[in-house]
Amino acid sequence: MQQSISEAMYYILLSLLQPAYGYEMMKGIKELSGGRIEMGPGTMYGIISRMKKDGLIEQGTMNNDDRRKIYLLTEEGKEVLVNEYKRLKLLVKDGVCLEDLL
Amino acid sequence: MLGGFIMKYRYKFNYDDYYLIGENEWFYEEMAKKGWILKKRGIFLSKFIRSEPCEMSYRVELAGKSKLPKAQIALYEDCGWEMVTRMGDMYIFGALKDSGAPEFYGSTMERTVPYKHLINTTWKSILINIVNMLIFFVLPFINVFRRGGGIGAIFGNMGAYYTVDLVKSTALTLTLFLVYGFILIVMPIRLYKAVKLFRSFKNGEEIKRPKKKNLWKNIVMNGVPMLAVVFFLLSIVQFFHKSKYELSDGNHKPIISLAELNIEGESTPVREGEYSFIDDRIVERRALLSTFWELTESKMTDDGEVSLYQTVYYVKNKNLVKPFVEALKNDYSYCEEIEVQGVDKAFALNEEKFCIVKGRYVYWLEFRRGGEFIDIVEVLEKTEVFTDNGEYLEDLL
Repeated sequence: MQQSISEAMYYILLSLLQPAYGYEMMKGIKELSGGRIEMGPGTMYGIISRMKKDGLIEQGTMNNDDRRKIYLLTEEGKEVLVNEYKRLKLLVKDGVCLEDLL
Repeated sequence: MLGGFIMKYRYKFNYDDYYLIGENEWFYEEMAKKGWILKKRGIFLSKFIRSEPCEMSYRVELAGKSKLPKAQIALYEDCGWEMVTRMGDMYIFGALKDSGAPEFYGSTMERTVPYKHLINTTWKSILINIVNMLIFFVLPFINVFRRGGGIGAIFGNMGAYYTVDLVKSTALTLTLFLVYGFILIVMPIRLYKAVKLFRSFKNGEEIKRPKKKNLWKNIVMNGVPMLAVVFFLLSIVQFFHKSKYELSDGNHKPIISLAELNIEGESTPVREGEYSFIDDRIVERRALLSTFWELTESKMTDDGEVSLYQTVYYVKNKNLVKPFVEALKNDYSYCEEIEVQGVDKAFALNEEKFCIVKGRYVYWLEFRRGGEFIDIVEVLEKTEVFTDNGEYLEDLL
């Protein structure tokens, strides 16, 4: 069974459904989370580096600018994201009885 | 402004150690408020360029083990930060305060990694320097301890050794003292501060900003290493800058020639290994506290070969003459004060080694002779250098 991933990792993977530059990812995450999550560039770069090592994302360059990296989901990254989504859905389904408490 | 001239650039001592990020960020922001924008940070100084006073934000990022990746820098720049300068593993980014550039990290807990590295390297550096100091500063004097001199004798010998070094190689000795003194004091302080900062970041505490300048700390932290660099450069210049004279070239005072001692004969080459100093010419060297001349001369007389190795020091500070002579004598267990006409003090360290003081001149004479015994004291007394009133010696410099 796949281990759960952190919230920050989940949103990074989610923001990479379309290849994006780091800054675009940051904006994407803020949008996706409705402004709830604002990730600093230092935090995000740290997480991206770990995820790259784990083979969840890969990086490339565009327009011959080797400083600016464009990030893409790997097949493994997609799989991890989908599995996490399924897991979260299951969690929500299992906790549906809590709706009455809201 | 100086008399209508507006300075475009300004240099200031770095505010604090690079890893104290709050202090450094605060310093550069305060300078921007006064109209000085950070341009470059060097080892000791920061360079600022004149601008309108403005509200700037500066953020320091430490790379830790390796360089900050280009992609990370590009990401920061995309977010509105500009990389202003880099010094070692310290990267400084700047942005206008109202630019909306986001903080690098959500919490200080994420900033602990470079501090772990810093703490490890500082520990190692302290240990390496202590071992270095033991090897180079203390161990050479341990033989006194073995002879039963005790710890006090070790320090006594060290004191004598470094007094001689201070007079002969002032700049280099001061460099070593400054460097090791600085390391011994600053490194443990750095370690303590880094550990404190590491712990506070681990607990998620905010980065602290200072409330006022600490001028004296800046001067010591930057001035001492800077002075060490200056002394080191000076010692290199002095090492290579030496004058050489032929002994036969007219006035060779204050050096004493064998001819002046009425030791006549054919000059013979100085044997390698006989003396530490091998040159058949007078070598003049200048240090900050002294000027000294060295010569080794050898002659074949009817009674055998006579060699004289001598170093003559002109000690610039009168008060240093006595401790310097004491230090020169320190290595010799036998030392007898002898009477030599025309000098202030004279010591025989054995039948062939003499230390003679005349005013600020200190003579170190080592004779080697084969054949018949020569009464060196009697010979020295007849030497012109010691029999005249000595005034001409002062004119030499």
